[in-house]
Amino acid sequence: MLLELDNVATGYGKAQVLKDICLNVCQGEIVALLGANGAGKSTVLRCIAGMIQPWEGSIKFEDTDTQDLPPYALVAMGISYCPEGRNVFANLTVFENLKIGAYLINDTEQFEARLEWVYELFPRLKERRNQLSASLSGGEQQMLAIGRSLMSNPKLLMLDEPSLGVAPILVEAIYDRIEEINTSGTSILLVEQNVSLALEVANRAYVLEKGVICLEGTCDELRDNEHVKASYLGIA
Amino acid sequence: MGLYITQQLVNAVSYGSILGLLAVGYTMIYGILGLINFAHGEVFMIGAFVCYLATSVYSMPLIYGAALALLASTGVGLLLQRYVYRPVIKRKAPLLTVFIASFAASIGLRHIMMMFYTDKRRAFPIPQIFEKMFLVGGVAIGLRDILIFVVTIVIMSVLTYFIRYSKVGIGMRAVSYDRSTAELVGVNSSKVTIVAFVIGSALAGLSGLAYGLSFGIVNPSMGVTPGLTAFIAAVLGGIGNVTGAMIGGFIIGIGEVLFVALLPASLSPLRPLFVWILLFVILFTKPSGLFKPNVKFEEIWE
Amino acid sequence: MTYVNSNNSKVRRIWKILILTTIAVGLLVLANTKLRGFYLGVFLLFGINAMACIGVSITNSYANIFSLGFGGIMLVAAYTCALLTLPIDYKTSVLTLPLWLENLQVPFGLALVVSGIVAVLSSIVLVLPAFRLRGHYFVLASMGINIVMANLAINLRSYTHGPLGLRNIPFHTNVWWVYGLLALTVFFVSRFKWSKFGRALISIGKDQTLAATLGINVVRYKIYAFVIGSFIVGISGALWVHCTGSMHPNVFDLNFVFNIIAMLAIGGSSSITGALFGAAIITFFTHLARPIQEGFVFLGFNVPPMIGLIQVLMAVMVILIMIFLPDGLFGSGKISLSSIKRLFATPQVGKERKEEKA
Repeated sequence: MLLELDNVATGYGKAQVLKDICLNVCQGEIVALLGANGAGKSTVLRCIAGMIQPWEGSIKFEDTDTQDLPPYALVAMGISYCPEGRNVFANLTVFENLKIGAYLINDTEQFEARLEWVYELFPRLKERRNQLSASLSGGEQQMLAIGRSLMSNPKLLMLDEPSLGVAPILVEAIYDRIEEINTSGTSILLVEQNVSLALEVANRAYVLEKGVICLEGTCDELRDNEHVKASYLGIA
Repeated sequence: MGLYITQQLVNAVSYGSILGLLAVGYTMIYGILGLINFAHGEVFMIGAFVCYLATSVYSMPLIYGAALALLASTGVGLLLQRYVYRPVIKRKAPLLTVFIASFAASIGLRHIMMMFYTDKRRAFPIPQIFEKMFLVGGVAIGLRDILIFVVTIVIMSVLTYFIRYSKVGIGMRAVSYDRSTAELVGVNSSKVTIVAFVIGSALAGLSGLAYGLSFGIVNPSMGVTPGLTAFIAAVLGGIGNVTGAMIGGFIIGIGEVLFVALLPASLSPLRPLFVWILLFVILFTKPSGLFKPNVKFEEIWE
Repeated sequence: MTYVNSNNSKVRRIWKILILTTIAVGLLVLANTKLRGFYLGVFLLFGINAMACIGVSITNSYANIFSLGFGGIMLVAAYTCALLTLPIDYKTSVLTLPLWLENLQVPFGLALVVSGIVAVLSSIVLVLPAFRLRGHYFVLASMGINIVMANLAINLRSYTHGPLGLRNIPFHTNVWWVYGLLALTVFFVSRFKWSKFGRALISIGKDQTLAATLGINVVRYKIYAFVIGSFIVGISGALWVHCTGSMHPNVFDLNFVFNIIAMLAIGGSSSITGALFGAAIITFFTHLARPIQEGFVFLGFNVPPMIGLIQVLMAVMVILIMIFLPDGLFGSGKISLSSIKRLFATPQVGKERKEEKA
């Protein structure tokens, strides 16, 4: 097991957002975390990434406890978090954004190799590599954000709502890439509001409602699940 | 008249360098932490004062005095970061709280020095060699001014290169822009913050040293006015922008000297007003400064 | 039933107020007769500082305009009041004033009111343009006001006698003026806190954008608050110089501004209790502990004089409070159990929960 969350509870300030979260990601999987707005999906990712600390429970990455580590230590361990909202460094160029994604890589060869791979995945980024990232379109910025989080060669990539605010045609392209990233060896934990899209790429999924996991299973199982069909797929 | 102005301009160059170095420190710390280090002027003062103590009271050669000055100012900067700014930021304090703590630190440092040395103005010993003057076309240029200017340019070039191309430099720019995202790509923001404070405080110490050499007078309250002036220079240059701060320093230095030179003598006590008039002009015309700010452009006006 | 009860509680309230007022007046009479010289001065200073604190808290916390410019405002008000009450022969010999001003000497009360109005006008002229600046930029601009005003005071020699300042200011300030005005201020401010205006201000202080979306005309209320705050602050400045009898351009300098900020920081800037306690703590501490600065003998060691020690201790206190108790000792409300509990709380609520569970 690559990532294991055991009875995690957390929140912001005095407000509790998550309760009894148990989930795991195995090597090579794509796991989706589904749920409506405000269910707490981003909070789960933020907690794993070290941005907020769990009140209870444990988070283990490759059998090591990570709940007390700061975010930059987790990058070193192989977790890369791409938060929602396409936050690229607008004051840097595309290339500089990617370069900083490889902040922890000191080997030039390794860096060049990663860069080439990301450029292969997202040719548009190669085209625009000296442009200021503020001038890219929404979809391109999302690609840049994902590309940047891949530069550190992560074992686990966490994507938060990659389809949000991106033109539908680019969403398809991005999701194709997500599959490609997975085939090349990176496990993925995906948060997505667009349930059907998520169920297409993922192996397994968890459904989060009001801070608790109410359903889990393989994507086939969930696709046939009545509750999922009614609440999330719009099929009565 | 032209010669008089030119002479004044030459004198203004070292004043501008001094302000510029101080402003760069301010802007770096603001860029990284999003807060104004009001005690920056006091770090400047400590640089100058320690050098004074070393060379005047303990009769050390200037080179040792300068080294001690840099050590002292960097040390004080680190102490400020660790014991005043880090605890306040860790607790996610609002702007006001951070500001009050910063203000208090400034008053505290100033009065610690006053406790031991009173506010008496003391003469900063200037080695003979710095008094050497060159006459170029009727204008007297001092060796000291040349030295200060050259050192400033060299430091700025090194610093700009460092920020643009080095790993830590890029990390600093990323943290200035968006701290949490920078952490997500592996930048150790605490380490980067410390680097920013070290560089900024060392520059302040250097600036203080240069001030002592140029103006020859040190006292515990010497940091108040240059501190505020340097802050205005940083705003002028675009807050967070290192090159901008340097240029802002020069503009204010030269502007202030010209302002006084062109005023009738009776109005010269109005010299301190120049920067404030300039500040109001900036804030009302181009508040983001002359150059691009290096922080997510926050609303200056609401 | 309720009718009778409300009557009863009204009567009880009136009794309470009467008793408290009598006690207060009694204390003041006592102070007036028993305290002399230095101690009387400190006692008066406490009242004046308290008033200044309340004035500053209205602009700085309620209206969320964190201005440091009140030093400059107090300077203007103080000079105005002094000019209006100085003996005529002093004015003629030392200053060059327009004739109508030179021959004017008015009763203290009138001078106070005028200086309050002047304070309001100058703050409108000076601070309002910078009004809509945010955060650091506004603080910077307001610091400038202090410096600019002091500079003007140094330069407008014919009005202010330059750096030498004014002497012979009549000692009008006494216990009754200070505490009477303080009582009035406290009374009005606590009344208006509960009025519609007051509550709008508090919401602006808490979250300006939110307040705006609730339909509160933020700019207008801020201006009102600013005006009221400036008036109070101006009067306290005038009271001050009539207490010390002299003034010069640096009376309300950055150190003074810091002292007031420290009072509010330590006491808590959003409550009257906070302002009063903060003013008390700092005023009494700075003045009564002053002898320590002159050097003393401790356990056989000769501790040399260290002028400035008090300021350093204050600065350290303020920093500690900003770290551990940013709302001040009395936060936004009277002294309560929760504010004391907060003294021992750790910053992360999550951690607290962990300990609770364990």
